[in-house]
Amino acid sequence: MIADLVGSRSVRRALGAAGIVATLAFSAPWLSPYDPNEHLDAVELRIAGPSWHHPLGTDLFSRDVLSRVLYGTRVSLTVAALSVLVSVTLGTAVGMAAWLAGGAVDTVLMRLVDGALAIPRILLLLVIAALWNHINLAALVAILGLTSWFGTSRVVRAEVLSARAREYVAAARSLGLSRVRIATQHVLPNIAGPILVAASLGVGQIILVEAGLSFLGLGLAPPTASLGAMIQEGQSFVYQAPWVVVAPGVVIVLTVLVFSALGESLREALDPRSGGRPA
Amino acid sequence: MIRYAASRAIHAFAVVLAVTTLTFVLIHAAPGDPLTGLRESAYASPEFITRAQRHMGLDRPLYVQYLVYLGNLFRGDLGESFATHIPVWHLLRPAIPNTLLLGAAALLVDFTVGMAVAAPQAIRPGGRLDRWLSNVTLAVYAVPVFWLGILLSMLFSQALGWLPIGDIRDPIIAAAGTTPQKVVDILRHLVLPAATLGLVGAASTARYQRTALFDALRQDFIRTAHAKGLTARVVLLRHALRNALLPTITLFGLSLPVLFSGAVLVESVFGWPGMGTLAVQSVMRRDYLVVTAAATITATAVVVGSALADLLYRVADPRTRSPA
Amino acid sequence: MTAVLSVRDLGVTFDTPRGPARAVDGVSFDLHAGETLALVGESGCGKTVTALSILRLLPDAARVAPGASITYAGADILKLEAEPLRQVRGAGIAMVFQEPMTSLNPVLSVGWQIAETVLAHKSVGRATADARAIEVMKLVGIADAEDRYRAYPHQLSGGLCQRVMIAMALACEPKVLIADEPTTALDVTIQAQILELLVDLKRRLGLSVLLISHDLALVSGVADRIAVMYGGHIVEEAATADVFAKPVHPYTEGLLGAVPRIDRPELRLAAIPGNVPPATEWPAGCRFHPRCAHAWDRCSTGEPGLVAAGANRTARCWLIEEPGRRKSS
Repeated sequence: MIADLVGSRSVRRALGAAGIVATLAFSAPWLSPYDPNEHLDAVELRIAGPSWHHPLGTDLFSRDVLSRVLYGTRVSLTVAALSVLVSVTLGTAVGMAAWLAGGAVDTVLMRLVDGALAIPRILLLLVIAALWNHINLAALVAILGLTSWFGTSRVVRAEVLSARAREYVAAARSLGLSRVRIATQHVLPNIAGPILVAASLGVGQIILVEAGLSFLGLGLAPPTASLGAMIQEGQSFVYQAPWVVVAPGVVIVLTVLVFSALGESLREALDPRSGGRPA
Repeated sequence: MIRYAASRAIHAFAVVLAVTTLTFVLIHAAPGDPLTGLRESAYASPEFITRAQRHMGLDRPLYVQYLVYLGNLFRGDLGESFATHIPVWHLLRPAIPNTLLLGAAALLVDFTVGMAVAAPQAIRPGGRLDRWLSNVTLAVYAVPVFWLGILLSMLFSQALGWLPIGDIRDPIIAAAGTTPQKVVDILRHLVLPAATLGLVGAASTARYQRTALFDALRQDFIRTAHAKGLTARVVLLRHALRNALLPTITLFGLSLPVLFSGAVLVESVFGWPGMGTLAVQSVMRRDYLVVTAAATITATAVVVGSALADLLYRVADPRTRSPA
Repeated sequence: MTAVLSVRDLGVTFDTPRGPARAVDGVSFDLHAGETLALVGESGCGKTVTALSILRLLPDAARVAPGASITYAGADILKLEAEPLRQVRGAGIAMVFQEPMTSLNPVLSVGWQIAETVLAHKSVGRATADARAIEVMKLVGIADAEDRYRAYPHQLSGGLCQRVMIAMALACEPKVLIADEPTTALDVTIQAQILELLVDLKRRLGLSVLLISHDLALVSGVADRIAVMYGGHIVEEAATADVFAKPVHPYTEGLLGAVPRIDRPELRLAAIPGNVPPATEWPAGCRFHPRCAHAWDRCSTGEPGLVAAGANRTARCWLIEEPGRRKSS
């Protein structure tokens, strides 16, 4: 399977693009020309347009937009990667558990998942934000991770119930292996593909959700540079200083696009049936 | 059909029950309770707090509280806002139609634009236009809806001055205008938020619709339709699109949660007085009963909407009817 | 006899990942007024592609050779604009397909699918079109046509669906009917009924029929003439009786060998060895030579042309020039 994936040119290209975005984001401390939170010159550099010293201009507090964008992307990617780790692990575990337990447990779990999926994600996060006060990085990762696994659990459950998986299961069961062992050693490797696709698409989705939350003022506390919060801060004077809003938005689009493209190319590479057929 | 409708209704009811359970669990898993503020206050005696606790039923076992919560919900009693002491329902009631208006208009944009993009793609798959539009839809799919809203308002409202933004109506027209003027005013306020929300949705609709149309156009009956001398337009509209619309009905049900999520952000950008704006304001005031009520109501709307979509699918597809 | 439909030098190439596939190559034939011509061959021989190209129903990936022409009613179909082409489809030349269940639109009633054909070609109202639909449904032997009008394809049996397809094809009184394996997907008992219906309708309506089939036995009772196709070529064309009396081409001989005989059922097993190669890999020389019992070195180097092999018959085989090479069986 890994060989198939690396063999696909579109997967390699998407992986390369994701690698570049991640490298740029995590090199923020070295690439940033300024301290992202430093008020450079409240008089001269208040919403100054792009220039040689400030390629993306400065914001209302005379902070360098490029530096803030770089640091903000690092935060977004960190949050998204960790949250996806949480959500994919949880989703896989719940999906497998529902399948292993079967019967009433399966039904109740899946109804709860239906219920969770019915609550629009942002509203669910608003409920949580209303109930818990201080959101730091760990809390944000926990909240996003714990509210993003519902879809994955459905995908995993559907995959283990699929005909393809059933053959492996039947074969393993005929060898007298226990259900849990079958689940972890035989089923899991065979559904790794769809999980990988879900994870890749999940990174993009969580970046968007996190940006939305911080846009609403419910993300990491200021002055931490966050792409969504930058857009929110720039909204009121967007006509005078569009760069404050445009730059973080473009970065979000590019980052999400890279991970969507990665997910789509993985899906295509993993599913020979979709050859030539649009996904 | 009736049996299917009944089983679908039971399923929907179970899901709504799951939603209420989740919100209840969330409220109770949170640190503190409605009296936290009171306890920290120097003016509230311990006796008063105990009395308030009993009054609010917080001293009873959890399952009793859950049943009371459920009972209240189904009677339409959503509790009282902590911040304003107004019944939650009174706060939400004026916001609901505004959100529904925005959602309906956005869906209209979503599906019209989605289809219009998908049709030329499906007719010549792999062609230059198809690949170009595929890249565009993938990119739009990655656009944060609130960012698009800000850019559109900057362009069409601030730079060009074509459309108003902020609230749902102009206060002067609302006070002194004639009915047609008021309607036009609301529609003018609706254009940008609905376009923002609809365009982002249109990207996924187009991707989905392209596959559905692509599959439909490769069916044998399309060849038959050409062979009997129908015009290309009739083949596309009457034969291909009609079949491709069936999966789209399901997509409608699936897209509702995403639509409402986006609506919260778009309402915030444009100051649209809907449930999303109300929920965000309530979060700032820690007025959590209003937020959970908004979440419960939208989730119920989502569940009912998907159930209706499933039923509509049954009605629209003759194959699900009993053999003659 | 006048030709209603003339196909000349038809070649169709598909671009595939493994290179161009020449599915049909240099095919020419005439369909005369009131006759039934059968195109016979194994799957992959190009007969369905030939049939589809007559109404220009080939997929986008197909390219028709520039020298080809398909003449109907004094015009070359291959050069028609969209609107005149549309008028030929269904009204001049109609087509019946192999899979009746999937060839009908599942979400439209069968009666309406017939009526819309009428509306596409005649300036009549909906009521007239509906009446015509019911009329042709009765013509093809559908009982309770008025009730069946409202039925959807999934509510009807395969045989009934094929009757609907035939009714749809005949609704606008075409001159030519192309039937592409019209009975293959059906039960054996239903096959006979549908074939009988086609014969009967042809006689009553004076149709010219181009029947596409892999089954020489089935065709023998219906066709006036038979054109055998192999490897995208017509390899033999003759009157039905002549084909059965004395096949010229070894491939026809093989197909006849594959016709089950009640007196000697074991002969069916003596079919042609091997399979039709993919259209990207036609062998050099005669395309049939790797499977031919009579082949000699000339067959693998030179490609034989289609030449006269007696009165009113043609074949594409070196044995016509060197009959002495034929091995007696």
